Amino acid sequence: MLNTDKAAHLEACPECDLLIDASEQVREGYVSQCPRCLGVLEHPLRLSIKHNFICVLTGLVFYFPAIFLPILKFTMLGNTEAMSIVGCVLALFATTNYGIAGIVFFTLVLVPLVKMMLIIFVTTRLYYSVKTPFLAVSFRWYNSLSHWGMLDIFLLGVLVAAIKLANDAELEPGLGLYAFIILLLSSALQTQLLNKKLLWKLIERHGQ
Amino acid sequence: MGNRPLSALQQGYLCCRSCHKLIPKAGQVMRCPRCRRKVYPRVPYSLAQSWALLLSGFFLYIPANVLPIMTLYKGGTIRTDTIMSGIINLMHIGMTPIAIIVFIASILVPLLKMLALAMILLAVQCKRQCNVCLRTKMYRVVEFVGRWSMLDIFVISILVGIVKFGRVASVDVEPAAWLFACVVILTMLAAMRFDSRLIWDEINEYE
Ligand SMILES: [Zn+2]
Repeated sequence: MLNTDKAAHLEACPECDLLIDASEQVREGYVSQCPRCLGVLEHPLRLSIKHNFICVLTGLVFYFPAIFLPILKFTMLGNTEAMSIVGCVLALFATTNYGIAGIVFFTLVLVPLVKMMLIIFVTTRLYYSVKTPFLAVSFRWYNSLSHWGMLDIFLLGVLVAAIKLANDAELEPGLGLYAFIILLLSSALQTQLLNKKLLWKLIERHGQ
Repeated sequence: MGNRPLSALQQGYLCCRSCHKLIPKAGQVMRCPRCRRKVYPRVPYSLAQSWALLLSGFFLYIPANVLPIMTLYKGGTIRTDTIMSGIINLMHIGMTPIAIIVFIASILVPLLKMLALAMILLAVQCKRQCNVCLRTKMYRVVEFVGRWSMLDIFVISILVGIVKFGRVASVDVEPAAWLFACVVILTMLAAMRFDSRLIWDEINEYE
């Protein structure tokens, strides 16, 4: 059918399954799109493994303050109360809203942490070219968890909640809010600019 | 180009859905040599599972919008809100831009998303060959925008978290909040289960 050295350059568009000759269609340093469905195949704006690692590490440092420190401080009739993400989960749990508590815990506490741990594991092993089991599984889990992180939506939620309460109470941003914004930015940057193609190629080379 | 088969599948290759490796087709059940996942020509039962998740999401969407989503006790007054009445209340206190954001995230996005996904699934089922580009674009938007409907759930959680001790105010979460969260999760799963390559499977030529 097709000879082997041509087959080495073949790729399928993940979105429409068009068979593409990567040596013709994909140029490094340019945005390349699938000629049929216009899905992005390659984007020049990608972080190197090292920069990606620095990005995740920044996120990990600010993760704990973002989760535990108060995000909003709220004063009403002389009473001041503070709201942190963990506090939110505990309050939902205490008021027997287990389902909502579970969703908040999963999307804001668990997924961001597990994602960071997995990508740190994968990138450090690949950077030092250590042969390790579970690399492919970890990266696969990282990719499937990516859909379920909802840090960005929570920040919009903070804004809406603050406006809902602004008439009745004095609101003040807490330290946690700043940490949360840094966590959000580093996580968004890291996820958007991750060079998945390169990582998969390296995983293939370093086994399992 | 003529009528040469275009898709990798028609030319004897499978594309791994999780790592996008191209694998020559051999045998019945295969595993991806790179990520060890089972590789199928197309996601098995993609259409049926998408339909099931989408329809259950749709049936929950109705009670989620009609039933109250939360009750707020504040300085001796009690307010029970549905999603829509909460938005109208935001407009009354002069916060129209925020009201519009909440309206888009909680009402418009889930509804349009379910309609768009239903149209995409129906078109695949009927093997329609026109507007494939448009449908692919629609699917990309549906996938991107789905998570943002969680906004209202987070707003309620934040309110519960703030007034947790109930000294000056308290918030009760009503059943519709949980229903609404289920709608968002079900429709997200419906979009994920759908294999976008099915949209293009009837197309054998392009210029
Ligand atoms: Zn694979």
